[in-house]
Amino acid sequence: MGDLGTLLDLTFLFTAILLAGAISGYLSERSGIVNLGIDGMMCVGALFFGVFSSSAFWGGTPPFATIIVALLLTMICTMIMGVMHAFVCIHLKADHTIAGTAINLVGLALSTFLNPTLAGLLNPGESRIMCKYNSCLPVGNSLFGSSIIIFAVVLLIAIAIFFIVNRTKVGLRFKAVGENPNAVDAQGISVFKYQWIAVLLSSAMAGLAGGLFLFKVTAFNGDVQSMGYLSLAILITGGWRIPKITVFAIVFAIFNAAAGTTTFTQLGIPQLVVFSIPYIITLVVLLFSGRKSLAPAHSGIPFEKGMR
Amino acid sequence: MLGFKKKSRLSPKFNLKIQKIIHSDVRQSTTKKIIATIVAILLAFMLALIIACSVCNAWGQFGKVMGTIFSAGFQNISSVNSLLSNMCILIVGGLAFIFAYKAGLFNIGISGQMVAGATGATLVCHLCNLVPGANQFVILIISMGLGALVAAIAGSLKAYLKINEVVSSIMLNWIIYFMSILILGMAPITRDASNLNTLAPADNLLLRINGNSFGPLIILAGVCIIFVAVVLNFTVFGRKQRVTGLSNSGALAAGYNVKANQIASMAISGALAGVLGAMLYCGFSPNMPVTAAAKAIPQEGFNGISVGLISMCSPMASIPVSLFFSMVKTSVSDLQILGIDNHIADVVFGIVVYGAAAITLFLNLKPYWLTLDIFRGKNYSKIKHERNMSNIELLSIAGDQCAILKKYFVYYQKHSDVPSTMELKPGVKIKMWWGGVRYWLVSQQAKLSVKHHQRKDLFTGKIFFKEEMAHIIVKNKMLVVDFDYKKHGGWYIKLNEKLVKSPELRTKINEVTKHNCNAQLMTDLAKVEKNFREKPFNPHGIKKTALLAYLQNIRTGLRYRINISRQNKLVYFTLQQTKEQAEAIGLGEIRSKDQYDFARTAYFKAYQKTFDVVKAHYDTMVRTFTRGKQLNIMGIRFDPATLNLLYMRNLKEEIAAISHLINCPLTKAQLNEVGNLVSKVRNLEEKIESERSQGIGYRQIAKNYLNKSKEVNDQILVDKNEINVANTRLASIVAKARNNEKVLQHEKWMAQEAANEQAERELRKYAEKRAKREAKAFRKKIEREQKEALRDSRKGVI
Repeated sequence: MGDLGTLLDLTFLFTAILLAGAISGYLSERSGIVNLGIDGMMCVGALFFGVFSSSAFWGGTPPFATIIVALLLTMICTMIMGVMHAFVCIHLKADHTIAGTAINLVGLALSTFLNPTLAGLLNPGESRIMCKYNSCLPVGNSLFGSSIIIFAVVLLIAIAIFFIVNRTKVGLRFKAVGENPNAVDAQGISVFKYQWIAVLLSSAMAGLAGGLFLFKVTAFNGDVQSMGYLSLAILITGGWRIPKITVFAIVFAIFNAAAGTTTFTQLGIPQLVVFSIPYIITLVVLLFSGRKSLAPAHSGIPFEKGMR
Repeated sequence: MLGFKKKSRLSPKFNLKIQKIIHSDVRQSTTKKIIATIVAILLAFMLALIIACSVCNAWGQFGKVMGTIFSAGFQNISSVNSLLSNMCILIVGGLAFIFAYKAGLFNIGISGQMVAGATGATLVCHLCNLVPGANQFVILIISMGLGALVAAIAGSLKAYLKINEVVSSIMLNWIIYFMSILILGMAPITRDASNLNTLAPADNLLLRINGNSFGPLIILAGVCIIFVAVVLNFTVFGRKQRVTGLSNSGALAAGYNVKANQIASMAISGALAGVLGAMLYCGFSPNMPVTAAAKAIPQEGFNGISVGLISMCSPMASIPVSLFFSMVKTSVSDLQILGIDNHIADVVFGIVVYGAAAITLFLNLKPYWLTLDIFRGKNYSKIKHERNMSNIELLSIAGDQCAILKKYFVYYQKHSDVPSTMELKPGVKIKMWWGGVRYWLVSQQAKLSVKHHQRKDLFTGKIFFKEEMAHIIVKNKMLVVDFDYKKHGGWYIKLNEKLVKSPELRTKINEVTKHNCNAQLMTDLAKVEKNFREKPFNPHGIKKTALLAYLQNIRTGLRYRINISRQNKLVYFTLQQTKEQAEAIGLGEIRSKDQYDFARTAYFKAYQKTFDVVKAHYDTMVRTFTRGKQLNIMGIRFDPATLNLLYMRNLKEEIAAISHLINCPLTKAQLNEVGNLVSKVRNLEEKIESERSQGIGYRQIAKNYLNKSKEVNDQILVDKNEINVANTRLASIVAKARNNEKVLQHEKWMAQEAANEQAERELRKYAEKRAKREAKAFRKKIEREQKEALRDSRKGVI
């Protein structure tokens, strides 16, 4: 049963990470800005969380309650990447794919580059950043480990976003920006404002996902093990809808967690196949839903006032 | 003078061609792109270095770090190998990206396609016994085929199911990555026990010569570059690809098979990625990843995207960009010794690609114009922007002097789609394009002067009188091509018909100039020109064009001194009408010493030959005038004052012109006249000679003639007065006569009126009498009838 406990625990943690990442993509794409750079933002988020969770930052081993402050600080700092992305996509009207690729490259490069130096500064003698909350909040130990708290928090955020987007005036406007920004603009609502806020929140969520990722690994390597791309896959498979995203996040998390344990290997399925199952699922879902596009109508197209 | 570059000694025609190339819109935008790219790369590079130095605390070694980056690739044969191989790998990755991007597809799956190709190649290497020698081609073909297959899957998903190729490629990347590791791990390959994480394709099959891979890789990369550049630029297939990329609907409208194009483009891109895989794993670094511990897709594909984006999708530009990246990459191990982490190369790549995404920022930033805006308080950057919109444009404003230009522009604007932005304010600043050459004409208040353009290689211009402009254009049916004030001290006009290539523009110019010219003058000039062309006149080596212009200017009342240059096509004018006018157009004397010497020798040569002729005919002319006639030769009227002036000045061209005029065919009457006079002239000539032998110089003779002509003029004036008096007298008589006539007519009319009245009165009297008579008769008749009736009634009664 210990195996199952680890599996469940890891599933909760991975669901939280992937859901946060997918919500990051959701927020951005719903406002019409394609965010391919979730992976890079997550890398930077993990780096910042490593800084804010270190004992050097808190002056000793941080108490568990400070995790909220650390995560919030991480989210705020990761907004730098959001600013980079938003400026290029919204104001310079660059190709969102190019900008996303650039963000990915910059994020990954910065985190790998800064990782050893920062680790040496924070904890002298170490070469990799580590999360100090791992000891307070051990993951993968019991049937209902502490990761369920993280999962619950992220799920709450997801539900909150679902209700805000679908039930409130602000949320509906926000959704409309992704579908028809010119109509929104005609109503006298600032499209740029909504897009900026969306991209900043998106990067904040990616930062959160990156921060949570540090719970998974004992030491940060500089990359987030393709979690960002998985989040993107979830976003696409989930058809840009929060409930479906949540479901697929859980499914993908199960596969990812199971790949780490011996569950599938015992059944005779190689680990590598399990790793690639989420991507295959995504491709298959795309094959069947590709024709009827579920994506926001105006995502990926720079908004121009004169186009209506 | 500062700011003035000495003009090149190239022929103006050739210079014009060069100007056209340099200042064409295509060339300018390319230059702009290149500059923006270089600026972006340098900024990103500096930013990355700053980050690196501040993070790794290496500020003290900043110079050393820079030096290492640019020198690490040239230390020994292995570092050169690393530099060149890396460069080739980056180039091919970039080409793979570029080919798909030109067709509008963002191939983010280069890494996956590369891994797929390399996996196939490795399997074939290990499992089949390939013949040494031919096997490298087999590897390449297998690698290319697998890469193309994977890419074609993404391409067909895009074409048939409209699945975004970015998303499907990312998914395929990961699937292929995991699967290739799985397959390589399961394949029955004996592994090196010391290196379990990576796998090398068999040694004898590597793309290497003596352990160095750069030779084969450079050949492969060169072939790829040529292939991509030729296909994209010079083949129908490549052009169709580009059309598909630029506008999907446009390609559909043109009848292209868009789906097939997209799939083909992805497949070729994938094949290039396959070449990349073979180059990387069978050439430079024979280390295929075999474990998924790192969970990181090989970065080479993404580096290819970086190269493709930053070189702005130009295959040729990818070479220097790759060289730069390769330098950074090669220097990584040396930088590590200086204490800088080996991921610095990735940081540089990432930031440069971000710069490529933000390239619009660099394209639109114009620091030079921005500073001008700030310090001069004018919107130069806007002006610069507007210049790009049309070839002919008025930046601001024309005064009186360039009314002709204004008209021309207005006309041009009416007949073409040039936006009309003209305003009327004092001061002239006109930028215009004519025949591919840019002019920059500026006026300050009333006077017109020329400010040199900022770019030194441009022609500078001087503005001209409107009549002059019109004449020159009409006469030669050519454009005024070049004005150069600075060099020649006057302005010269180069006339070249070939420059106006379009017949439309020619007719337009003709229309415009007709509009501005005096029709009478046109016909006159046409006659003169015809005569000159039929009968070549060149007695003293004087250019025809000079004389034509001279004649014209006499007609318009402007007086010029004409200098003839050694160059055939150039004619220099100096305007001498009034001081103010001369100042206004900034004309002066001859400035260059060459010009002066030439003019002087020409003057003396011409003097000897022409003076006698003029001397002979001068008297004839004067006599003609003294008879109250104007000398009218070929539509040009001469007056005595002009001739006097000419004589007194002894200007060779003027003399030559007049002598020619006299030699020209005249009307019969004129000929007779001249013939009669010639004998007298000869007598006079003898007299002059005698006077001369007695010691009276030409000057004295001229003075005598002048006095004589003055007397004649006075006589003419006196005669004129008399005639005037007579005329007034005559006029008064005529007036009186007319007055008398009027009075007479009035009396006649009055008499007639009276007679008419009397006649009327008589008629009325007669009519009255007659009426009375008739009435009497009528009454008598009635009475008689009454009596008869009465009698009858009586009879009846009885």
